[in-house]
Amino acid sequence: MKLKKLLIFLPLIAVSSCGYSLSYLVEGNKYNSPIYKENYYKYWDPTYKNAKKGVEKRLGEDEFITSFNDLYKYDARMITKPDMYDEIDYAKEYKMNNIDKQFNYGYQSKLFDGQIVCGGYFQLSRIQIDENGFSGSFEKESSELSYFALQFKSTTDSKLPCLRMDESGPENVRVHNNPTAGDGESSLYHNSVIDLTISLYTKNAANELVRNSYTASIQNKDTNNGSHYIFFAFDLKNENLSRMVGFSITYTVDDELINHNKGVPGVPESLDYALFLYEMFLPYTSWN
Amino acid sequence: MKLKEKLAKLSNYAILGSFLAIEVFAFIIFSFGNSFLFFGILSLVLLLLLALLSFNELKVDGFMSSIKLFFPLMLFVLLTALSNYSVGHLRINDFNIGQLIFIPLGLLSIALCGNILAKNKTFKLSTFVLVMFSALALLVFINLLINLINFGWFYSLKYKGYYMYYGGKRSEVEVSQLAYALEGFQFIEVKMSHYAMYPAMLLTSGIALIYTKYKENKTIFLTYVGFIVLGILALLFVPSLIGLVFAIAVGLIILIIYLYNKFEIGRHKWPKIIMYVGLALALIVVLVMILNKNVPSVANAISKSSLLNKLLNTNRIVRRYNEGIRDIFTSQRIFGFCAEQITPWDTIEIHLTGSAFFDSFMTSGFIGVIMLVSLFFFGFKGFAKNKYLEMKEKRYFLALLAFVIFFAFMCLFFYEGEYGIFHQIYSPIYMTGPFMIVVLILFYMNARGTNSNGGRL
Repeated sequence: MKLKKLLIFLPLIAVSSCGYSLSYLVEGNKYNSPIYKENYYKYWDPTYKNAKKGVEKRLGEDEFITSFNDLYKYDARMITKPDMYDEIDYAKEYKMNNIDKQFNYGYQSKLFDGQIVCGGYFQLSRIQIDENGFSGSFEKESSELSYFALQFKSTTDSKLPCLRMDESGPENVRVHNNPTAGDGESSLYHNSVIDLTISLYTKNAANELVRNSYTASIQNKDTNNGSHYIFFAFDLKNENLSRMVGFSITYTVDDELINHNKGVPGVPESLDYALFLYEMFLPYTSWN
Repeated sequence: MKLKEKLAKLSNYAILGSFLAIEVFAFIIFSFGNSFLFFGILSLVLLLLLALLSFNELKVDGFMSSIKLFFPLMLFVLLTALSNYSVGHLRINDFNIGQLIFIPLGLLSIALCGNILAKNKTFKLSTFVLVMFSALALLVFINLLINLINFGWFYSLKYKGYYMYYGGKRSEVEVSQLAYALEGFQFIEVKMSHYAMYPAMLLTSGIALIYTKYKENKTIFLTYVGFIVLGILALLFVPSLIGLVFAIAVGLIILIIYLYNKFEIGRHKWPKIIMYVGLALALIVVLVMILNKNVPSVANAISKSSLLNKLLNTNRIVRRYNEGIRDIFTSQRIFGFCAEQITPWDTIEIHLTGSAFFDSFMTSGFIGVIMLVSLFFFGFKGFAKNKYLEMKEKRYFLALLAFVIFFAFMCLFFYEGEYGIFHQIYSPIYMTGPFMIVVLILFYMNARGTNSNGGRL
């Protein structure tokens, strides 16, 4: 009888070791360092690397947008908004934590809080990723996907010696060892192409994880200009994705200045790149 | 049948009133729904019901004996409801009109309920205390369980230096300084002091356990043992410095009450002398703090002494207290004030001081604070009226005394009126369930009284 009474406590002990909120914890000032390289967010769900291959699509130029002003192509409601309606208003209205409470928790909640621009909060408002990217899992599943949107900008470590490419051509590179901005000559002004891959993970009938990847080549002017946000979006209505449970974001950068001027005096061999991700949207979704 | 006769007949159902009263108080101490408006409405309805059911026993002189408590409470609640703080919160939609109306209505109702129940022979103190601590135990158990589920055992030690992210923001404190707690009908992240105060309040039932024998009543004995064990486990499995401070405070309170009772210290004069000297010293310290923040010459003199400057100006704790007492004699602040700050995220934040006593300068104004202190002063004096109770009942009265003393100690130094980590919650002390229960207890004890033969006054 005593043993039976004690057995009541077993489920209690089992349940109490779940640690549901431990995944929301981040150590100290991780990702809040003044040192650029220390702020890359690199979390990957171990099961995602072994996911089955589903859709692998390279989006044509007319299959995605890179400006908020073109969102009406995927969201007819944008046409009815007033002229002054911008991405900041859009983020306040469509942020994911308005749709479901699950988006409130964890470090990745930065992508769902409606903070779509920097606003002076620097690392507090963005997730910084390197080319290997990261993954995110949802606690619930969604099956009715409308479109995917992501606001981000690309950047390099701003504390490097500054270079200027003369208008006459890449062979006339001048090196300025003055990292402070302000005089135009100090900014690292050059073009790049970002190959961005958004993977949406779904579950099939056998409950196996399937990776569906969408890749787009984005022309990025002025790689090191801090004010160049890119509002990237693509349509999902005809993709027939159901039971979406997670996502991942990876990219590669083809930097015109670095990659096309190898060996030119003053041009560094490589740069540390990052994408600063501000906000991600999956509007009009319901989660169960 | 005449109305008086009809009402007299209703008194046969007085026991129903006692039962309903205990249910209402259990809801309030459990903070069911955490809605002050709901508690206030319940208290008012209960008062009307009790007045009807106890019509036979209502006597004017019974109420007059409580006038020393009633007057300061009435002034305190009126000044609080009409203070600049309340009006400011109304303006920024943190409070609503209903809440403000029930600050006086709710608190005065529950006070009068205490008064009426003191004369109601069917209202058993033992039952009330048992139900009160049972409701608290349920809340403590739920809070402990949710923390174990979310973080696991001893997380505050294991994850020192870790922070939580919510809504895109990092928590202002480490995870070792926060816990989950039931707030209304959801679990939210709260400051550790808010989590720890409930187990500590539960531990005050220990004094009743000391005077209960196992052989006398096994069930009651084991129930109180259960309360103590639960309280200790709740503080042990979610360890924190503030929890330790609370546990030590409760232990000392229980020890002092036990020794006071055992050696009948109350018969001597010197305890009263010590008490009045202690109160006078405390008053002087508070007076100096107030003068420091309101009289420039005093402020200058204090700032010149490095020791006094450190004690009264620069240390982290006193700096928060000083926010409540700064410029309180100006026309903008004498009736309370609402210290707003605009955050980087364009929200309005109002910072309380970390002490309900110093918060009261903000929430109720200078005169409101004097009334609140008077309420507690005369309330404690009212406890002395029950010193002739038989131990069978006295142990429950001692448990309530320990509860009120711990509550007063916590309010003085450790009350966090804004205890939400990610949720903005402003909960001044007078809008909480435990405060309402303390008011009830003070009025009950004051109105009950016992003569030297152990009979009711």
